[in-house]
Amino acid sequence: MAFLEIQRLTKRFGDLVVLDELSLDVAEGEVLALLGPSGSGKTTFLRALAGFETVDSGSIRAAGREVTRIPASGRGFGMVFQHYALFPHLSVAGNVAFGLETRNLERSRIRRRVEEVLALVDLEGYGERPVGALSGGQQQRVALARALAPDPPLLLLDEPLSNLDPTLRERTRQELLAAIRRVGITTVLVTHEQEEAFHLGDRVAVLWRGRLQQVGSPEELYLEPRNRFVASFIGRSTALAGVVEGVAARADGPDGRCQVRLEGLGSDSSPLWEGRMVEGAEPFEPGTEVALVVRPESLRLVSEGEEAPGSVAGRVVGRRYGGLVTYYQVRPDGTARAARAARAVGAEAEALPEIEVLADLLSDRGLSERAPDEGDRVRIAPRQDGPVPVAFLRSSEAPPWGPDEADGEAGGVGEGERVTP
Amino acid sequence: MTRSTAAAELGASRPPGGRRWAGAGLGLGLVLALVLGWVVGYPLLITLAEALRGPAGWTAAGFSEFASRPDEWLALWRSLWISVASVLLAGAVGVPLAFLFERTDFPGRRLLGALVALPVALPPLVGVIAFLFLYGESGFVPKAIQAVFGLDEAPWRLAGPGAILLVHTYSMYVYFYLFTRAGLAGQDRALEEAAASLGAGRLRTLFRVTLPNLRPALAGAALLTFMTSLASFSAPYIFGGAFRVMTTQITASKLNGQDRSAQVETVALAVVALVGLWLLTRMGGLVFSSGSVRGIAPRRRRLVSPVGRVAAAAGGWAFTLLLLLPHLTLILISLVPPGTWIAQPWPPVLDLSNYGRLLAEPARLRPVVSSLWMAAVATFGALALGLAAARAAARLRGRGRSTVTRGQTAMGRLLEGFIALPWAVPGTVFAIALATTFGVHAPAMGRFVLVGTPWILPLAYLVRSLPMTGRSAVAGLAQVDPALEEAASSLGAGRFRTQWRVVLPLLRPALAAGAALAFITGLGDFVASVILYTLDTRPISIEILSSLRVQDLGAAAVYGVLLAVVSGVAFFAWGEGSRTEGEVA
Repeated sequence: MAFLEIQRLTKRFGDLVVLDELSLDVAEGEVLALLGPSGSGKTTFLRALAGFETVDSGSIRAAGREVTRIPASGRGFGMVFQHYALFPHLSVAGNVAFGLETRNLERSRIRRRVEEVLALVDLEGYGERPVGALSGGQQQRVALARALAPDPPLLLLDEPLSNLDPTLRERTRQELLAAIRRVGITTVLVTHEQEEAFHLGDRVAVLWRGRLQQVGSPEELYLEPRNRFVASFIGRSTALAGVVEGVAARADGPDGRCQVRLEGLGSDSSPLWEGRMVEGAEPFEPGTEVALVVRPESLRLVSEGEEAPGSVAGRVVGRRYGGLVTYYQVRPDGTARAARAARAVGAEAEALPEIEVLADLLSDRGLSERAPDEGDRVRIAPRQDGPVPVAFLRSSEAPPWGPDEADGEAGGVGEGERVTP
Repeated sequence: MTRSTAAAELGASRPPGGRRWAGAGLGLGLVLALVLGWVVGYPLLITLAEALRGPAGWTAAGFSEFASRPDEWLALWRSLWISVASVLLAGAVGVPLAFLFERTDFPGRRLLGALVALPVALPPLVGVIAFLFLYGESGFVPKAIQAVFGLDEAPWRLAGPGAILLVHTYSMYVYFYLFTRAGLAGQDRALEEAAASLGAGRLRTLFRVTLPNLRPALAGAALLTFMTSLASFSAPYIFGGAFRVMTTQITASKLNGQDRSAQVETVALAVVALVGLWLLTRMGGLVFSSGSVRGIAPRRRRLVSPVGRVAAAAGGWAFTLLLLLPHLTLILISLVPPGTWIAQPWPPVLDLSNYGRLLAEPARLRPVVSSLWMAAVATFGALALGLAAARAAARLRGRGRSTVTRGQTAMGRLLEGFIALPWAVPGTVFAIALATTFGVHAPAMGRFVLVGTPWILPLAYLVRSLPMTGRSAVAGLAQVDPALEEAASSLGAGRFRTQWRVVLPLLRPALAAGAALAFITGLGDFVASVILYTLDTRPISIEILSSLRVQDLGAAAVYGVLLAVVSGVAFFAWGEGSRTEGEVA
């Protein structure tokens, strides 16, 4: 039986449905990362778990106990707040002892426990300092120590690292994870950073528009996205419009393949690319209009003169050099039809798509002699060994998810990093 | 080519300044310090000197006589305990009220929340006479009780310490109310949530987290209440009778012609005020320097239970009505023609004849005109002087620049000190000090006879309102990012243009609020006027007093209404710019 059971949790603010029948289980000792763009409902969900938001319907059970109607002070969950919410009038020790004092423990026991927890977060001897005198990273650790001190059954972290500067963030993340593992506490954390979610979470739950899109290990989310939102929100990708031409023999299996003709791309005939039909969906009929979500590492730049099936010619419109890997934005040759089709799969305007292609230093060594630059003509083609692009019904719910939901996103999310020509 | 030439011309047009102005800043600071010192610091020193001067040179005889008289000690003691009690009572009313309006939501909350702050905008004397009309011996409430129970006499007399405390509570709870509301609005909601997540219930959260974090706000309100109460004059003067506090004691001495006693008492009161200020600042001045003070203030609790909603709304409305009752009474009394209301519980005749008399008889209108022009002149002067001093102080103290000499810093401190001093010292003290200093013709000593001329009252008002304009300017300047001025000069704006186009517009809300308070202070001034007024430039407050003396309650009420309306309009019209919901000036 799961330690934390959340069933059909629903929360509305007026007409706005913030949480829509959200159900989720968390196993004992598991770290679950809630990932989603801002406005996706993830913070509301965490606050509902903590007891700061009442819900309209649904239930929350922790360790077999129904807590849905119990106020925050009665739930006994530990929480680390985004801006830490350290009590400015109390010392470090005073902050950490706060939750212990509500339990009428003996003074000496409280003092021992405070020292113990401060040691856990590497802050021995900091007890008497005022919290205002600590650095951001130290404040974060005090907040963690305060939440852990009463030995709660569940730890809730609200964007625990967003308040730190980037150089500090990665180290603090390691320390945070180490502390959680040492205590072995069941943890739910909220973040909008994919890297953070992937690093900290045993499983990651992707939330969008108040609905759970997919829950799974980072690998599952990246390699087997179950819907178009997850496919485009996790990692970098380009969505291309296409029409199914044929379905492979294993079409009924979990990993069915189909052949997709990319609409209007290429100069004479449109290329045929392989796509993977999403698990659970019916096999597509030939003629089905799909959106093919292609990751940069599924494609490669073709050397001059090389024969490559399915290759498309185009022009480099952007290049981001990153050492081991280089990302190219390639605008393929295509007709007006391709521009119209791009709109149909989520582009903001009718224009030929810009396809992102990855070239890496190890397998594409030949290219590095004279790497193509902006304005150069190139050909791109699917990699034989790359992840197979995923084909979704074009009518399925799709990005863009609107500027209000995508704002403030940073790092690892394709939308914000698109190179504009 | 043309472009680069033009760019070069633009770039070369202004040599980089900076050090040059640092020296000039010191000179300007010196001039301002001299002017401020002359009107603010010098009179206090002269008073001290006069108090120490005997017929044959320096002597402490005045002080030893003061120390040997029990009535002086009694007045001092009364001033102190009245002030402490005022703080406690004002806090007991203002703090819960702030929680009610900041943390709950009920119909009419916003409107009532603003009305509840109204007493702060009214001159003390107006509140006092309003109380007199409502609860005084022949006021509405006692008359009504008399009528209901068939009593021969009024059930109580509104006099003595109880009456003073009542009026103080009524007019000073606003400090606690405003400070607490601002403190609550600024508190991070996550703090209380953190306490709850750690198992703390509502009460524990309140006492361990919410209230301790309000400490700076509460300390500020307590300080303000204590100082105001110590300086309070109208209430003890009207209701005190034989119950003398220091301010009334000083005024009585002065009006009885005992100048030496008045001066000695003045020095004593000033010392008490400064010591009190020092103690309270030390006790409560701790400001939490946590980097984590941000986030969102707690949402108002929407009272879900109908009983709670009705109770909160009823409480809020009832309390507001109670608070507005004195002012409603004032309006009512202003409509009662003279001699028509003797023993009835409700005035038999109501008309506008009192207002008609005010407009028809120039002698009655004159105090209004006098008060208006004197307050306007004082406000203008205080604004100019306060702004100049605040700017000079900011410049001298090196805002946005790292290289300031110790002399410059000291000069900046001195200027800021002069700006703040009149706030720390009761109005009575300044009135006596000005009377002492400017009642003598000694140009070589910087002393001129201003007492008895129309200029002494504007000067007194100016000095009293200097902290309001000056502190507003200092606070406003602290908000202006130095980078903005640098940006302006990088775009080619000269010093004057930078001030005019960038700094002043940004300061406008702060200056408007300061000017509004300064104007209200001058317009309703009683404490300085009663000592310094001349017959020709009698201000409204003095006229109210003489109307009361001849039992012309209607006329007194008309003046009161007038003061209240003008003050209210000035407060809300000018002050509005600097006020936003939740963040109260």
